[in-house]
Amino acid sequence: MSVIFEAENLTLHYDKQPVLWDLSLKVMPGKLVGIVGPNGAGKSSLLKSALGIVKPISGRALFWGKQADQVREKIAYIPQKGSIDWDFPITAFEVVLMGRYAQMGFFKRPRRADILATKEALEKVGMSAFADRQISELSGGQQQRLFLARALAQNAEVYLMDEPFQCVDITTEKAMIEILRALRSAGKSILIVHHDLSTLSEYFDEVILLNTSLIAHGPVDSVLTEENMERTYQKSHCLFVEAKELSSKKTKGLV
Amino acid sequence: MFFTDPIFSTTIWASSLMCLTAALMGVIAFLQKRSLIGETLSHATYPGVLIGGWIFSLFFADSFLGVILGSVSFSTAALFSLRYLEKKRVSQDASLCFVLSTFFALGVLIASRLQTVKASLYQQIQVYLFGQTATMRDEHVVIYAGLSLIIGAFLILFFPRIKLLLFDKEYARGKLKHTFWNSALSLLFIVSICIGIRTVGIVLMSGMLIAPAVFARAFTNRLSHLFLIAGTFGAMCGFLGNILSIVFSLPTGPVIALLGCVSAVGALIFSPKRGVLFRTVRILKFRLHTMEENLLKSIFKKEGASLAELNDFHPIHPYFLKLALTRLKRDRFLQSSRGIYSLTPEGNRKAVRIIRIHRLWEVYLTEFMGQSVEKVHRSAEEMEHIITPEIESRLTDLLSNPRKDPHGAPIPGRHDESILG
Repeated sequence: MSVIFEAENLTLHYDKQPVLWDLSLKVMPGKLVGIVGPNGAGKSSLLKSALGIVKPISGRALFWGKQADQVREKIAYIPQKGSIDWDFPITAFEVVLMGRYAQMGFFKRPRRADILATKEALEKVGMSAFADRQISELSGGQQQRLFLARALAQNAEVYLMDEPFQCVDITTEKAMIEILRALRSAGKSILIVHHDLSTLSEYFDEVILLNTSLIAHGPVDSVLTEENMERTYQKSHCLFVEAKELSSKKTKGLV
Repeated sequence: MFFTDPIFSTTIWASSLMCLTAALMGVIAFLQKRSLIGETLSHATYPGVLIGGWIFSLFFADSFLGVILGSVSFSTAALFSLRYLEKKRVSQDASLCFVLSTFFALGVLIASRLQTVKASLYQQIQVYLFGQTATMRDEHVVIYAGLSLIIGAFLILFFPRIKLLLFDKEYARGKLKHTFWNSALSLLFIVSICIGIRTVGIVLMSGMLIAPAVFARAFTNRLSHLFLIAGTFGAMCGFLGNILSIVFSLPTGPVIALLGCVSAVGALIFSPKRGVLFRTVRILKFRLHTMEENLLKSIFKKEGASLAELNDFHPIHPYFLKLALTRLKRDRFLQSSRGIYSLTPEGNRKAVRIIRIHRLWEVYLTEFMGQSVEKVHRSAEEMEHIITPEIESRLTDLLSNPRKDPHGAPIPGRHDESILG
């Protein structure tokens, strides 16, 4: 099978502080992959650099051997809740309709097929009744489902999701997982930044353990060893960052 | 009589159109949460207006084109300066201030020089500071109106793209040429400012950019309606402002800006959804509701209480206390006999539910949020009035229907009639 996503020696800095360090991995089609690690381990940054939203200082991230921007319509990205302006004057329906953007013509006017696909996507996540709501009038769980619906409307091959279960109740979470499993059965790949360690083996085929550098990547059971977890969540990593920070301050003459 | 006068009618319509485009572009800045950028970019046109006008007056009879070219180029230069400063990690408001005062100061210097060298031109150009429509000539009207129409047409044609770009930049990546569309919008924004200053004036331009957006946002939750309302409102301010300024012979700019800002403030007060007035009413209603629920709770705990007892426990003005009690009685949650209030079966159920939610919330805070037992009561006092049946059932599932709160008190079940039940 062909590789869907590949990172090669990916290194990313914010303000001279390493966020990702020499990371290499491959994701195959038809997998549900969890990305796990402590806060500030570079989970979101991995997704963002994969998409080209942030530029790595070295290495590269490729989908089907190409830059993300070239194959963007095949990639669906569900951003973290905090990055959305919820007060923006836009309805749930309009957000999902954006998923059809790549299919629309030059002036990007929606045709009947687009409207149908949008309605179907809303239906799948159980949000049909809320189509005309302004997005701030939705509950936390509904907001997450909304962006899942947009990804579905896009009909993408790869789904990158940044903590999609944040503020979602357990019933909705299970329903979302069912939808994602159906996508996987259809041969799509799904990468999810995930927080809840207790559901890892239930939800995912593979796990990427991350703490600035890649700790482990593989089938859930073989990766979730005590040794790996200790290496992921250890404290000694903070010392490295602190020292690095101090050194960058010293070089700038700040201390 | 003004409508029949050919000079006034064309200029007024052109000036309304100029206000319309400014309002449309203002919506974009407003949604990008960069409302102040218009203030900086319009002030930055001042040296451009002067230099452009001055240079063109040396070669042509009419310095008008020079003014437009000068203002566009200086405003663009200001935008690049802002970008540069922000790249250097100067905070946004600091760089806005800095660029505004630098460019405007430069303008004032040039103006004072021009005043001594070429007083007549100086007089002409001062019009741009506070705006004046009446002195616009026909060919100016055509150019201004034409530019306004181009901007309007651009916004209508590419509305879906603009919506995507404004709402979700990261999602827009790879779907449209980001740099191109951003630059296009910035250029149109600058052009709309340079058009607008003829009517509203450099000093007051930002009000005309933002006031219509603020006004419109009070009435709609849809982007298309936001543009429509803001545009119409902008045009109306322009139109009325012009007429008023002619009738009372006032400068156009301040009249238009005042009209816009006063109406925007009015909208902020009276808008049904977000307006201060209705929000205050809703807040008062909520307070009354909270007090009623607290009364039910204390009557439940005391198993009946008199007005005086209740007032000891709820130190508020007796008038409000009576109001709440009357409402509760009217809704048959309470009954009273010989000055003692007691709960009806419905009131009883309601009180039990409030206590249940209070205790559920305390369990949630201690078990899931890691708060210490002594500290959770306060938050629960608040949440018992807020939590909806939907959140209640989620809480119940999450906590697997607990029977005791952190203080050891029992939690009544969902359909229980009493605490011990």
